[in-house]
Amino acid sequence: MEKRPKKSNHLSPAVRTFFNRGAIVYFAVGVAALFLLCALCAGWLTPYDPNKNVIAEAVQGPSMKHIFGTDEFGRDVLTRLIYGSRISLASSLMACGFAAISGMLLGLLSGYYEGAVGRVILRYVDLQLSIPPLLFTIIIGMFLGKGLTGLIIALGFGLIPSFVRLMHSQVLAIKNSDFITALRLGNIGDWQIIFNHLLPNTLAPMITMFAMNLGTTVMLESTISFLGIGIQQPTASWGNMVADGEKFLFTSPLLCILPGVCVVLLTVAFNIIGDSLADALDPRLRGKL
Amino acid sequence: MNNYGTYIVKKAGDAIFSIFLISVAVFLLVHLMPGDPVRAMLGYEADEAAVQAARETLHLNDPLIKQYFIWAGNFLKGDFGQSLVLKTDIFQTIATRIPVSLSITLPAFVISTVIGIVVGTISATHRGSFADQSLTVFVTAFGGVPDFWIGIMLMFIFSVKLGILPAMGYVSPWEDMGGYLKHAALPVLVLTITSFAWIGRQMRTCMLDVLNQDYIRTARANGLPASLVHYKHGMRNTLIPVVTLLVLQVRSLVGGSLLIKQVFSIAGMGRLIYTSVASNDYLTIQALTMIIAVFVIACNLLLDLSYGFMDPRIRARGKRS
Amino acid sequence: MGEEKKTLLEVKDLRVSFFVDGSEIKSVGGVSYQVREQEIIAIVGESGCGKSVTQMSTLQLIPSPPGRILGGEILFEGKNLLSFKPESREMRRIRGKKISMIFQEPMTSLNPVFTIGNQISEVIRLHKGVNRREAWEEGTKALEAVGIPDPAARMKNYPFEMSGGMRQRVLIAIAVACGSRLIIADEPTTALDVTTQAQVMELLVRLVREKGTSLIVVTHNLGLVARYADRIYVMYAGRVVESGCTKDLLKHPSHPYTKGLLGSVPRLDGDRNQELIPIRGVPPKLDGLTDRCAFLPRCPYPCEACKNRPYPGLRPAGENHMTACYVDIQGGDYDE
Repeated sequence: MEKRPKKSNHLSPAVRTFFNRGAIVYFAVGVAALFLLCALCAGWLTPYDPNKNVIAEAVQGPSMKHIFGTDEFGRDVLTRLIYGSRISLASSLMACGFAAISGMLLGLLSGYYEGAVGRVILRYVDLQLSIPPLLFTIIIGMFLGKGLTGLIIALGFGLIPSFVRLMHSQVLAIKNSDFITALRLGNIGDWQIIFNHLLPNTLAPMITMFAMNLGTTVMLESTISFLGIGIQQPTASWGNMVADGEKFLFTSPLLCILPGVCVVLLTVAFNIIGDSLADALDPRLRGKL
Repeated sequence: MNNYGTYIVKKAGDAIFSIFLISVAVFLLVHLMPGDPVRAMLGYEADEAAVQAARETLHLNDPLIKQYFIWAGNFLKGDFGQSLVLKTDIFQTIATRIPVSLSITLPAFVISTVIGIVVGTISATHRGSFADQSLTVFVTAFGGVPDFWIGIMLMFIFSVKLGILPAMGYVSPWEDMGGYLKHAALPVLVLTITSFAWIGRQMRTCMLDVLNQDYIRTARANGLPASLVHYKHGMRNTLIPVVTLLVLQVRSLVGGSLLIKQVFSIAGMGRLIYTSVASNDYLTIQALTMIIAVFVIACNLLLDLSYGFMDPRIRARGKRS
Repeated sequence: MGEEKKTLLEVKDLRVSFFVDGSEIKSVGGVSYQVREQEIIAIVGESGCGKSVTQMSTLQLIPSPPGRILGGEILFEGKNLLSFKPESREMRRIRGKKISMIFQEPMTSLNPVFTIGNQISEVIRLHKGVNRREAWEEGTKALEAVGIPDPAARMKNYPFEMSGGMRQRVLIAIAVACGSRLIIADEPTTALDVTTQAQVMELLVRLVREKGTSLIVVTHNLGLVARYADRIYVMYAGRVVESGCTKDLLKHPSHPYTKGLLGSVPRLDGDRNQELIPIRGVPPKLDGLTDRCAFLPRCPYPCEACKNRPYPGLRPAGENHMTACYVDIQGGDYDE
């Protein structure tokens, strides 16, 4: 791996470490940016309505008019892929955000107040972990009803334990450090210590954890939508597009392959970004997922 | 009683308490579910008297605590009630599904564990080698591929394009071994691919961690050959983290099998979960969740007990370090 | 100096670098030293000066990557150890059998999941070709020799059942058990508490004297070695900056760094009211060394030559006394 000292000299060391692995990181950032662009500008990128049925054009192969062909209701596949990126990005970002915020809060409480509060929270985390994550998400999703909001909360719920555990261990480590002891001796209030001193110190690992979970969430969302429990027709999500395309596997395999490729690309991109962030911010977290 | 005895009792008590808490949660969850289960069962046109009668037989009019104890008591006896949708005994249904699930999940678990540990160890002891780099590339690529999609793609390649393996269905190994192997090949392969990459990566991390320890340096400084250093001193110390990871992997295999059965139309536990969720069959979900949770907690307990065999510190003191 | 003894180990111009994130850290930049038979030498310097890396190189235990031995020779009993591959049979026959090493961290240097007996008899079996039972007996004797009470019972203990001092004794027992000609002790007492330090050091020295073994003690603590070492090498920033007989070197330090080191530790035999003078500044970063003397930025006696000419290299500063400095800081304490 060749370095470009001239270019990296004025970058901070963290940024340099982030791009340390070279081409593959640029690729990952590029892919993520491309999908983000698709999600934000979906309406301008394609002339078609993703949900409008044009039965006359059902299940067509690729053509000039429809680059990736059409699905069983004659809808343009490329258009639906573009709109599908909205679901994937929105659900992964918001679910991880939800999990990060609630996990941080619970982890803070359990770490800072090690007594009864801490024990109850940790016991809850253990209990949740005794149910397979996919099953847990499905049950919560069932409870919250179908649709994007329910899906996001269900996905987020499933991710909470890892954030709580990380936050908990971080808080414990920092809490026992000398500077926090000094603050306590200085009669500084609990909440002031938490917000001014503990929280900023746990930010780097939490951001890393957040990024590392994005890919997993994209995958989980597509899985749940594939099972028909998450995003419902006619709204396009990559998962339900695979499910609908499955019956045309023998005739038009593209219907199945393309949305899957999108899931893989975005997930791999997020995973690489997560790993590189871990390299840059908190090397101990590498390979922890 | 010695320390290890105390440790066992404490862990077993912990597990039982966890099962109790889970049962309360599962029980309450169903009672908080939207929709009236009796109405769902009898249909919305059923007359009021029939609904009341059904509520009475299901003890739905009793206080919640009493309901819980009736339910928990029945559960302990193996009586999970009748499925609201399938109208069959839930215990019977689950009992027929478990062997099907195991016949797919177990081989996948064993194969992926063996390959994962071997590959992970080799790539840790030969850092930067071709094997190591291949593992990294493989893990990065396959870490992003959802199970269900690998399933469909393999089906596309082996069934549609090559036509050498059946796309769907299941044959019990007790009835027809050849048929079982043919039908199980793809689902087992899917589960193996996704889980061996993960195990391999974790194994590599653990092994690298151990190989950086001071006692490995001591062993090398004392002239021990690489084989002894890696496989006696290294491997033995990765045992605890790796066994822990394998138990975690059991948990996600139970979840992962859910999809496999959906893709390959195998009537195992996964399909049962799926149909129960899709049809709001809450009694079946309740029973399934409980069984899976008890299974996972039992695995964790076994894990805790096995620590005693793997770590002399736990054997002697009842805790680590 | 008395009669000359045969040279056992001779290191010539050893250079070791670590390659991290594209930059080269010159950990050892051309170090030479020698150890004679039955001699105790000390290698002294601040942490990060390359003294441990130098010793690890002797047995080729440098983690690679990122470390790499770039050049030099390590002659032991006439053979250049660097001509062997790190994991070769020849190298393994040296390790633990001809040259043993004791490390700084007794708490973590023994494998936590095997018994003491298992670990000591494993090494004995390997190097002496005896069977399991004989190796166990020899191991028990080795524990007894390092002063561990009730050795037969201790053989069945796990490391966590012993204190740090006990564990270091076990490591010493393993090091001397196979009759090594040279023992390298890398900060053997640093991790122990003060009362145990002296005991362990006494034990080590007694054992090597009894067995006629040579000993290299790597330390940052001049006071520790002053009593035992025959000769001292002082290292700074990957180079030997001064070497000489212990007495001479301590009495007439001729490199500003050595002088600084001596001035910064209290001495029992010195003036009680003498002020302790710390060396100003911090050790240099090893990835940006120039060809000038590395101590120059911290040196209290800089001269024109230091600024304009490259690192001087070792020159004689008395009988068996070498220094790498342009300035004659002894102020005529010796005749040339």
